[in-house]
Amino acid sequence: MKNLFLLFTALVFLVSCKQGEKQTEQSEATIETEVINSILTVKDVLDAPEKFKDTEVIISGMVTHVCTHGGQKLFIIGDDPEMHLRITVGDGIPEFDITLEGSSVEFTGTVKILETEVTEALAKENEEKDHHTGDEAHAKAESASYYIEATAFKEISSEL
Amino acid sequence: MKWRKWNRWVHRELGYVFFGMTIIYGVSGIALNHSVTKHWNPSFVSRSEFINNIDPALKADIGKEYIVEILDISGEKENYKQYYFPNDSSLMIYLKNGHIKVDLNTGSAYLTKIRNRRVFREFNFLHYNKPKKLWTWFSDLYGFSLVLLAISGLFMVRGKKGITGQGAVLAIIGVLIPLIFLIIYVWF
Repeated sequence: MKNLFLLFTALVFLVSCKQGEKQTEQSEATIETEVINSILTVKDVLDAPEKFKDTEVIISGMVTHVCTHGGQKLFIIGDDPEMHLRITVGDGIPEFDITLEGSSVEFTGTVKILETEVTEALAKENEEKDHHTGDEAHAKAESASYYIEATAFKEISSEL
Repeated sequence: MKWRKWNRWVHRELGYVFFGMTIIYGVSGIALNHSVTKHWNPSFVSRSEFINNIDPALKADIGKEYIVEILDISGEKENYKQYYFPNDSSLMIYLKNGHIKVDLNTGSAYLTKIRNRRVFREFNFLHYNKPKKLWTWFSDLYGFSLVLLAISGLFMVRGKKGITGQGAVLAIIGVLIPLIFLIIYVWF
């Protein structure tokens, strides 16, 4: 039992050291990312995703669907319900809760654009899994090359 | 022999320490199996019911009154969040913990209530490594310990029922079963 306790203490120490190193690396990476402070709309990003590639943005929209297979992504719309944008979880967000559906949410995250081969593979995977909710705009966003990897979000209240 | 003493020590101590983790990964593993095969969703409980007395409508004519009427009929006014039109013939009304989907052409509407499935959701949260960071290290340690448990388990018993007798037959069967599935579904 004493030996086991010593083993665990050593492991916890090792893990703590590794976490410290990782956090330093992440801070350095954040400094290199370009940041846009004004709040963007879904249309802003969809009109010219390349313009925001690898840029940290703040974007707001209404959540139309949260993936129920693990909550690792959701979809938002702006004023035009035909324009959906995919948001995935990034550092600091373990998962998106299903209760976000129908909420207006402000996300902070980085715009990512996938390579063509990866996008094609993603589209094929989505087709096989049949994850989408049925409407075309949503399916298009699910297989789009562009998306936002969110690191933080906050709900904005809305009334009828 | 001394190595047998150490083997028993490793098997016994790791078995105790990782009892909880084995239960978590075992239960969520079963849940994941059935999630993949779409038998059920282990994270949520979803219930749908048909709502009567909704009038068909055109998207252009729909306003606050129509939404309020549906909320009154369904008894969900207090839970209203927002609505939108997925397409010209559908209306989606979001509620706290659910939604109402209306087919505007026919007036048929379904109220779906969704809630988290207790225990399974928490177990899956850990099994999917959603906490990341420290949990990655602890679950890696568990994975490594499972390998040690399996190997040390082979040498726990001596004699006819041990790895030189019946134990070997059972261990070979346990290795062959996944191999057969790989041969059928992956390699040929």
